[in-house]
Amino acid sequence: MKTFPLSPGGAAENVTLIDNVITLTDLTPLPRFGLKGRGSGAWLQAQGRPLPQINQIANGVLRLGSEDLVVVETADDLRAAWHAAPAPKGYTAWREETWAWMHLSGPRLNDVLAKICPVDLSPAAFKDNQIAQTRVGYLEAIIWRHTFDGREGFSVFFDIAATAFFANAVATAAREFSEG
Amino acid sequence: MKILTCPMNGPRNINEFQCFGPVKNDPDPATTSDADWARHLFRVDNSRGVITEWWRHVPSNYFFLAERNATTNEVIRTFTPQDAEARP
Repeated sequence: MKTFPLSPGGAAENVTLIDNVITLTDLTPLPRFGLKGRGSGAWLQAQGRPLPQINQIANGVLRLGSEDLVVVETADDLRAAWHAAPAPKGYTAWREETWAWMHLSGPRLNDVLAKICPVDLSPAAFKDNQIAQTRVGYLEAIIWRHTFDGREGFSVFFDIAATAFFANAVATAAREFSEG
Repeated sequence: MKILTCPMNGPRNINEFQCFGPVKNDPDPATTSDADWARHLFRVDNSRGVITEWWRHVPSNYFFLAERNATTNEVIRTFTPQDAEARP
């Protein structure tokens, strides 16, 4: 059993995720599979997974660069197939080990995101299939629109070592809305 | 805040970027002295006027080139290495 930062014995074990005007949900344990380097796009396409444009998400595939891809749906099946496949197939980017994955939702989502992310994430400016590689909560992050467990919002990838920092940054940014 | 346009990610705040200094030609290993290698690796000409530099968009780890006037700090254009090869 893996230990994640927020699980018992993890580095952020005692950090509480905010759940009032904004809800932060830890999705870090969910499967994902990152591939990078020459041959990764062609290999993924050969598995029947069409590639979106750069900085877009489609069919559970995030494309972060021409040969930089992250699969967030049926990732475990794909990982097994990748390990068994001959090269060229890119190389694994260890996204499931190096990144935390959090979901943000809630009634003041847009107000909080406007404070912690410099990219305009309003529906008119940021489409459903778009990805922004930018800063969120003072950290390098990847953010995209994601409905999780029936809750509309955004998913964010960032450095897993900054899990507690990110949770605290979101809570601090939300404080002015919860106290009002 | 100053805005720089990344060829891949579009216009972003300058604090999302890191400068890697002016583009320099690699010296010939067969004919270059140790002192000149050291200068190539560790020292940069503090030029005035328009220079071409390597920049990196940090969140996406994307490297690109920018033409910048080092006197006025005006960025003239940003482009990819492929764009540079395509130009005559």
